[in-house]
Order: sequence, then structure tokens, then C-alpha cells
Amino acid sequence: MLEIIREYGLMLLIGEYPHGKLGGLALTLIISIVSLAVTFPCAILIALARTGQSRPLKAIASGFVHSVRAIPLLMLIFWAYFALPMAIGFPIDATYTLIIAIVVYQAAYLGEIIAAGIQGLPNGQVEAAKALGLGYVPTTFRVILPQAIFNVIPGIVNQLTTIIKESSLGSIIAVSELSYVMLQVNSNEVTKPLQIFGILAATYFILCFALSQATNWLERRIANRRTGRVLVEVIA
Amino acid sequence: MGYHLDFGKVLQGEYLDLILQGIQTTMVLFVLSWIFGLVLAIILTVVRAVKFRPTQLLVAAFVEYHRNVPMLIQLFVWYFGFAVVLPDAVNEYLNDIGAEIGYAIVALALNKAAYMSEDFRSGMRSIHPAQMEAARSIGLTYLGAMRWVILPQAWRLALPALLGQTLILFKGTSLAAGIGVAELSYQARYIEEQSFRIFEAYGIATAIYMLISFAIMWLSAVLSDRFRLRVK
Amino acid sequence: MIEFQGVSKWFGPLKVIKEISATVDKGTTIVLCGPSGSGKSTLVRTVNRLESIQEGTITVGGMDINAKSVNVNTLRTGIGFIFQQFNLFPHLTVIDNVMLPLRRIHKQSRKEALPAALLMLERVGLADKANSLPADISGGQSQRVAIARSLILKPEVLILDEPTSALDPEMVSEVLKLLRQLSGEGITMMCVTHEMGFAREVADRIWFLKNGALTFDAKPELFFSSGTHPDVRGFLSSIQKNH
Repeated sequence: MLEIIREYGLMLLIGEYPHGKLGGLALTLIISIVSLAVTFPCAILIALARTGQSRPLKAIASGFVHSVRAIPLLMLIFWAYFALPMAIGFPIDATYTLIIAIVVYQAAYLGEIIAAGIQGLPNGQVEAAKALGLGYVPTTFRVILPQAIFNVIPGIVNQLTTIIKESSLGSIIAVSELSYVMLQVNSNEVTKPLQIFGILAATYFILCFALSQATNWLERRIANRRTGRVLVEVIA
Repeated sequence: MGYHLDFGKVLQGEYLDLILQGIQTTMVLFVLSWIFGLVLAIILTVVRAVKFRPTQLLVAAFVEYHRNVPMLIQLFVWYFGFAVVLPDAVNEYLNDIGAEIGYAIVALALNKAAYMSEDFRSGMRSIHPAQMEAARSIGLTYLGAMRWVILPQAWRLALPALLGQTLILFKGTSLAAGIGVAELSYQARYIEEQSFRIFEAYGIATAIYMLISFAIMWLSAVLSDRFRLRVK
Repeated sequence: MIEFQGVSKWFGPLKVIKEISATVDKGTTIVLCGPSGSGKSTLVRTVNRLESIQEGTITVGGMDINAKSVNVNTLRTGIGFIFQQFNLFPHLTVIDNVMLPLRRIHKQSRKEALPAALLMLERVGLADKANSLPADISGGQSQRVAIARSLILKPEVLILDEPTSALDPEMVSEVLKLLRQLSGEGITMMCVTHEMGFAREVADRIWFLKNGALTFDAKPELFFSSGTHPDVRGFLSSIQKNH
């Protein structure tokens, strides 16, 4: 096991870099964070459409969410990787097609999380904003969204964990992220698959377990803050 | 653009057969992993409910492994990793009978068992402790209270999450393509390579996935509504 | 009927019941009151062994309830217990809640259990709600169903732990009316409550607890008279202010 780490550890972390493209764990993290960053504004739009007053927008958003939820991510990746370049007439780097597929997929899930955050706010918040004479835009962006998003921060961090795990599908379309690199290592060292995939699993585990612990911690803190329990703790 | 959609090309002869085989394999993966997963989940839940530290920790480790490692990697571990601990003769035999699908079912079932047991557990935890107290006050034994009061509520509370896991499992069967199981998305990819009918091949596979997913979603909505537990 | 002899209980280092000795005569109604944290809920919970005791003995009908030979489940079928939060089982209809003890303890079939359960529901005035779910009836109705459920096995003792505290004011009277009726029917009752009007009218004796000790045990006439215990006087004026 240690031999493999000694020999391929650097590759696991950064792929072929600096002799080739950046890959490995570094690429996995970049793909995941970029995907989440791009998904976020899309998800907000979907959430606003889902919870808003406009019927056509509501129907479109709901249709999008339900359709995407009905399709395996792998299918979206195939569409993005094989069909999209055909449709637009020029090639796209596999890494980008992976990000596009994840963004489309996650927009539906993250959109629902944020929509739930908006619906979870007390009615009085909108009413109070209206009573102050605020219009739709300031009510939404100054009153509703900041609170809704704050409350669903644990859900958002949790989606990052999900995205990291989903990015492993990049190995199927030869994106040189963590899983792909280790598949390469495995074909070099044919006799040690258990160690190699053990290391791969452990790497994901450490990363995702740490993030899910962070999610739990955030959840407790935010729940406490919402119910004002922090105050009690401080006094007691 | 010189591309004309022609679904007829893909929906005939050999290609049609491959698609039908793909659907069949997908459904076998889905149904068998679901059943094994659910049974194992119930066992795990019971084991974890028994207050014995070592087994509780073991179950917790099992759950955390399956929740924090990508599904695809779990498939790799079984497919690439498990083979080396078996004797060559066994491997040869397994490869002859199509071991990939067996590994895929094991990996998917174990993964679902981990998630479903968590759903059961949180179902149990969302029951107010006073329910147990009230059941015992009537004179029910601990097991009687479990059987007639706690579990009937727990499975209802866990049901929406379990149904959600069912849909995730259905879509997750596509990952078995990653270890060469010839299920629906694998066949779509193969047909696309052979026929160059990209949009038709993926279009049909996507439509089939959506159709079955929608059926699962519809059934989930019906069941969730039918068995919803309303607590004041 | 129920006898406490030198009963003490600790929660960790905290002594929450302090050497209580008292008797509840058969067929009488005892009301327990006192400030919050005085141990009155804990004391009534010891009677059906929802709480254990560390010192003393409790006998019900002459039987030491903490004796090794006593089956706790059998003990509990003879003692009805009513909670502040009703604790109806939300997955069962009203009639199924009431039938549950007959079916799951006396192993009766649904058919066998139904007439008795319906009769009991009629007695608490809720026969028309038989097929409703707990989520669809009011708090007062829920508490009456809970009482019907606890009486279905014909216990000799009924214990009520603040039965009206979780109810909206307009629903308190329907539950108290039912309790008044039950008290007249010869069941032995121990009721923790702050409803002093009810205590004055229905109780045979009122127990006043403070810091885990039974400081005053008197008939209502004395309890509410000017000759009452000084602690009781303070307590009564404080709850009057809150009402």
C-alpha cells in the first residue's frame, strides 16, 4: 500500500501536472467547486420560479426539475460529451462537458433545496417587507433570499459532497480527475487492484466524511440560531 | 446541417434487441438490488438498535463508507478488487457466467442498504419518546410497544425517504455500465458507436429512463400520500 | 388502595422525592398540586413504575409494586395513566386507539373488541368520532379519547398528570366534566392539576408538594380555608395572579 502511495501519490493529487494537464484530486476539487459555483445562480432562478407567482414560469421550472430528476446523471454526461459538440458544431473539452452535465443535474436538486428554504420562511417576512412598501426585487433579494440561503447552507455544503462523488463519473469520459487517474494506475499495476481502489475510496471518504461532518455542525449551529438556543447557552 | 433524425434506424433489428436486453438488465439490477438492499437495511437497523457498542460501531462504519465514497468507486472496489482475493478458477467461472452483473447487484444493494437503514433510523427517531411511554403505560411489553405502536409509525415516517432512495437506485443502475454491465446506458453507448446515430441512441435511452422514473415518481406520490402519518 | 411509605427518589445527586408517606383510600380522588419542580409529576409516575424509586415502598391494592414477583405490564393494565400531551397513537383511528389494549393485551379480535370500545367512546361522548384520526380532532376530544383508552381494561386506579394543561381554555371544562363524572363512579384517582375549582369540588383530599416533600395533606375545606398551611396560601395567591 505504502509503495503505491510513494510511487503514485503525487499523481493521485495532481495528475500528470506539470508535464501534462492538471488532474487527480486537484482536478476533482476544481470541477466540483466550479460546478457548484455555476449551479448556484441557476438554482436560485429555479427556486424563484418555483416559489413565485407566475404560472408559466412555475410550470417551466417544475417541468425542468422533474425531467432532470428522471434522468441518470450518466445519460446527461453522454448527451453533453457526445451529442452537444455535434449539435453546436465544434468540440468541447471533456472536463467542460462534465461540468455542464453536473450543473444541469444539480441545478434541479439545489433549486429544490433553495425553494424549500424560501417556503420554510415564516409568512410574516414577506408581509412585513410589503408593509414597509418594498417591491418584489428588494423583497426577494434583501429579505427573502438572504434568510432562505442562510438557512439552507448545510444543504448547499451537502450538495458539494454529492458533486464531488458525482464527478467520479468523469472517469467514464476520460476526464483525468481522481478516479480516472487511479484507473490508469490500476492498468499499470495490474496485480494490486484492492490496494489501488482502497486508496481511491479512502481519499474520497476522507474528503466527503469531513464535509458531511461540517454539514452536521453547520446544521446544529443554524438550527440553534433560528430557535435562539445560542442565547440560552450563553446565559446558562 | 446534414443530420436528419431517424429513430427507425435504431428501433429495428439488432439494435432494437440490444435496447430490449438493456432494459431487461437494468430492471434486473434495479429489482434485485432493491430487494436485497431493503432486507439488509432492516437487518442493519435492528442490529444498530441493540445496545451493544461494537456491532453499533460496525454498522455505523458500514453506513459511513457507503455514504461517503462515490457509487462508481464502490462498483470498482467490488469488480476490480474482489476478483483478486478469489482463486483464478473461481474468477474464470464467474467471468463465464457474467460476473459483472453480480458485482453490480452486490455493490448497489449494499449501498442502498446503508442509505435505507439511515432512513429507518431517522424515522424511528422522529417518533416522540412519549409514544413509547404511553404504549408501556397501557401495559404493552417493550416488544409489543415496538410491534404495535413504534414500528407502524416508523415505516410510515421513513416511507417518503425510502421511495426517494428507490428512484436514486433506479438511476444508479446506469453506473453499472462503468464495470461493463450491458444495461440500458451501456447499450445506448454501444449502438451510438456502431450506428453513429447519437441523438437517436441517447434519445431513446433517455426517454425510457424518464418513462420508468416518472412511473416510480407517480407511485411514490400515491404511496406517500396514502400512508402519510399526520401528527399534530 | 395506594400507600406510599417513606418513598424517596434521586435524579443523580438530586433528591426529587423526599420520604413521602401517605395513603389513598379506595374510591377516593386525590388532587396533587404545588409549584413546578415540586415532584408531583414524578410522584404519580412512580405508581405505575414509569419512574423507579430508591427508598421506601409503594403498594397498590396491598401489593408491593416494586417486588421482584410483580410483572410491570400486568401492574400497568390495572392502572390507567393520562398524560398532559394525550399521546394518542397517530397512525390509528380513535376507535383503534381505544381497542388497542383489548386487542394487543387481551388478544381479542377486532370484532370482539369493537362493542366494548364503542361503549367506552359513547361514555366519553365521542362515538361519532370513532373513525377519525387523532390529527383531525380537538385537544379536548383527544384527551377524552385518551381517557377512554386508559379505562378500557377497567383499571381500579386512574392517574392523571396535568390532564388539562395542554388544552385551550375553552376545552378544559369538557375534560373536567368527564373527570367529575368518573370520580363519582368509584374509581380511585390521583390527579396532578392546577385547576383549583376542580380540586375544591371533586377532591377528597388535596396533597401539596414542595421541593419533593409532601408538606400538606388536607381535605379541601381545610386546604382552602384561612387555617391552611402558609406555603399553600402563597401558592394559591400566585396561581390566582396567573389566571
